[in-house]
Amino acid sequence: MRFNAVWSTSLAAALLALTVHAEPSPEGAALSLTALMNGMATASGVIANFHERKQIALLAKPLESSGVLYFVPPDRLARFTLEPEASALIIDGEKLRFQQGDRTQFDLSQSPMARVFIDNFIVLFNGDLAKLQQLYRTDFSADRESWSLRLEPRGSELSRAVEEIALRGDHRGIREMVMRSRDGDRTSTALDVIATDYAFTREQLQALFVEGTRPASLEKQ
Amino acid sequence: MSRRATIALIGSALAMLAYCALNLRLGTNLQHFLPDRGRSKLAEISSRLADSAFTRTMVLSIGSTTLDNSIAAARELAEHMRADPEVAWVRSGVDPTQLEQLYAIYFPRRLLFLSDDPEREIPALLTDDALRERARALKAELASPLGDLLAKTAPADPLASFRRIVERLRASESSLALVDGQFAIPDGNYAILLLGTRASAFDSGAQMRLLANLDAAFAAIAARRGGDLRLETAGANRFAVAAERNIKRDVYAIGACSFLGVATLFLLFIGGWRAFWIVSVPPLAGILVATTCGLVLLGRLDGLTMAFGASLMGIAIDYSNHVLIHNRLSPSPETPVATVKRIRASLTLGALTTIASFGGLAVTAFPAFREMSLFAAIGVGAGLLASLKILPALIPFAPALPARSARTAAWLGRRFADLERAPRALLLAPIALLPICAIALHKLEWIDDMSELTDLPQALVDEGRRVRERVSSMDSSRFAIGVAPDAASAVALDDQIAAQIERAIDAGELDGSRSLHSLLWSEALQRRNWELLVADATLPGRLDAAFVAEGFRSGAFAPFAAALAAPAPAPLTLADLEASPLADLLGPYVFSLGDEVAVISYLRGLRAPEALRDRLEALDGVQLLDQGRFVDDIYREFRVTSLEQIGVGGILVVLMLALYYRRWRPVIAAFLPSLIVAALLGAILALAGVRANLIHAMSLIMVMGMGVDYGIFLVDSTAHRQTLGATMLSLLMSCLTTAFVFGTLAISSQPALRAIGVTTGLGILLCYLLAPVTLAAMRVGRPTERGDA
Repeated sequence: MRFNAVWSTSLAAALLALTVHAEPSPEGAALSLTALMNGMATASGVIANFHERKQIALLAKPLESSGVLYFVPPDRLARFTLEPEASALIIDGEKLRFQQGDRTQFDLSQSPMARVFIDNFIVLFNGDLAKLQQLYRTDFSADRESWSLRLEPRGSELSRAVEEIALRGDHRGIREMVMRSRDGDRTSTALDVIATDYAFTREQLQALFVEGTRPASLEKQ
Repeated sequence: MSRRATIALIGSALAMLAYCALNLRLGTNLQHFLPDRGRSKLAEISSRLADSAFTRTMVLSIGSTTLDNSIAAARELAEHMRADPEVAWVRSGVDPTQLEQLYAIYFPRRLLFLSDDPEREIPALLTDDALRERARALKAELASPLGDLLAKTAPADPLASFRRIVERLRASESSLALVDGQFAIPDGNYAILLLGTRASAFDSGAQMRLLANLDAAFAAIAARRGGDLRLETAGANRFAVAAERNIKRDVYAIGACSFLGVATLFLLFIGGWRAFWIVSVPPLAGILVATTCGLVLLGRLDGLTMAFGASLMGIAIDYSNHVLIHNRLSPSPETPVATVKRIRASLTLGALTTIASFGGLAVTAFPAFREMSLFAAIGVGAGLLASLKILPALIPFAPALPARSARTAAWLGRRFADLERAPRALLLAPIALLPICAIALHKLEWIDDMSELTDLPQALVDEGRRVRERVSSMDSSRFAIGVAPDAASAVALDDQIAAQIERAIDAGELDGSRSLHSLLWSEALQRRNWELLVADATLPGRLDAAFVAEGFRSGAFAPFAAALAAPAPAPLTLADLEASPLADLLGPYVFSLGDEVAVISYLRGLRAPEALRDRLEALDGVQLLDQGRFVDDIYREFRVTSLEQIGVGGILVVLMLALYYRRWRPVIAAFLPSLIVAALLGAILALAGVRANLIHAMSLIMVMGMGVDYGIFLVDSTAHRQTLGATMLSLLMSCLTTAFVFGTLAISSQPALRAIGVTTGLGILLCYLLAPVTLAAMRVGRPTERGDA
């Protein structure tokens, strides 16, 4: 078993568990993938609560966790798990680190697999449809109320661990993401968007992406 | 000399030159200066450590106003230095491939590495309560974003054996933080690089090139990036280069003074450079023959040995000077062959006593001393032979001595003859000083701290300490060392050392350690882990029940049960690791010592060295090595040996003089001045508050050898009173040449060079000034002769 491959599922879940909002579609018209990507490209600060449900073959019941994530376009994400145990995953441009409570910190920036995931993460939100389609086989469908995007990794590194990523959303943005691993494990993340155009202050960005902590001003959100 | 003999001589010299040119590889082996009897094992370990990965590693600390700028500059610098041919490796962070390599090697053997105290720890880990506790912990870990990683390994490793291995390795690594994959100290905005050099830290040529490249590269980066970037470094190479640079600067200045002095002397009294080259033939022949014989007999010559041996050749130039001056100032014209015949006995005795004075070195436990003794004996012997056999053929080509030489010789002859008129006073005055010398000598302080022999810039010392304190808390001079007959026994011994160190840590005697134990355990310890796990047949069932009770699926840990039911994995061996990509990690911890294998544990925060020493020495073949103290002990032994050798050499010289003269008076007359010089020199050093060291002792041996030569030449001159002036001029030349060549070292800023300069310069002047004592000893109690002068 390749070590990097097993690492990948956790990172993918974290990296893709974010929210964007799509541009409003013309009255009554279904959303297109191009319009969705444009919306992602123009998104500003996002705050969302998440609830994650992991179905792991080892466990009789799914594992549930919840927390909050902060997305600062185009490439900054802080994901804080609050229950059942505190942890944080921070992506800041090319840097990626994970910290568990106050105890352990892993800097994953130098990991080749982390690079793959950061690249895949950035392409989802910079609005580059051509690049997205280069990295994933895409299957987009939409109606007037909702949309869904199925992504199948093309790269060998990612596709070894991840079979499929399915995103579902509506006019407000992503509502759910489901990732299926090659070995049958499944992680679904439901998102409850609080704000889609939040303007983060310098102090908040420093706390989130440098210190890896949630500033008190954001805890009230 | 016949034409055939001349051709044979030139042919031999050319052959020897060619042989030396092809085979001479100068180097300094520290081991060579450590005793090879009694404490050789510890000495070998110490010398291996002195040239190990430990001393070949530099720590670079890059500071700036912001951490981002420090890290960016460190990355650029690392990239640049990786291309330097003198650099073996640069580490700027954790190698991302290392975890994969660890997984491949250790995961299949995870159950062999569960506990290094298995009898105590494994039963406690396997109780029902402990298994449920473990299940709860695993569940919490699976919920984290990295949980999927554990989900893949947990079925085969529910006890987290592999994670324990990784944590042991992580605990033994540097305490540096990782920021964006770069070693850093956020508190202070420092980025840290570790750099390994290909060459020894003491290979100053290679290290100078490397440091020049490093400084230039950093200056360019700092100029481009700004942000008040500053580079601080720590490394043995920095000190070695600084020491050599200081010594070279001194040697150039001192060399210029020496050259001017010697040149003036030869122009004044010998008449020119042609004469200088002619009298240089015997010492050069001595060096050539000694080097050739040394290479043939020993295979190689140590650089320091040869430098010291070559300096002894300064004695051989005295023989040829003596022949030239006696020939040219002979009362009646005589051929060089006749001159040599007249003074041959004095020259031979002088050479033999010099060889004897170094003879004691031949029986010491120090290979370098024995080599020096051999080199000096062969070199002085060959120099003597060249003075007796070759020089007479060359002297006719030398110009006549200037008139001032004859006048100076006559003046010296008269003055010394005048002094002889009161022989008792002349003899008793210096002898009366001996009790005072004895009292002063009692106060002479010997210092064996070799670090005091080099004068390093304090700023560099402080910088090195700052950087080391910043990045590492491992003690760089104290180690626990175990030696065993083979690799397997060495690893087993390392288990025991680790256990003792663990107990010492629990007792508060030290803070921590780093050793092979974080990577490898003995095969026996690995098997004990396995046997304890498989001995409990109920374990798979109990584990399943405990984990199911905490929400895991029944049978989820079947891979773990299957692993226990399968044959035991092959234990990991040192050979396995050496053949793996992790082999580099072993370097600092284990190395071969001839037929044996040594394992090293590095210590941190050692507060109770004696208590730890007691614990370690309870194990066979294990010691706590305090390298600083050990080296000082070695040099104390070195110095004591040198002083004892003065006694042994002195007895040999007296015996030789007695055999030759067969009367007590000339024996005492020839030997007494050098004895008084030794006492006076020691007393002067004591009264001047100079802390004497090994270098003073070694230089004293050389001075005494030359002093006895002066005595012999003077004793023999008393048989030919009309040649006293020539002898005194010859000795004056010898004295001043030595004073210019060695004495000028006294102005050096380097304590080691200063020690040579003070002892040799002052000693040789005293030898000349005390020459009348020889004359007085020959005269006292005898009727005064007329017309002696």
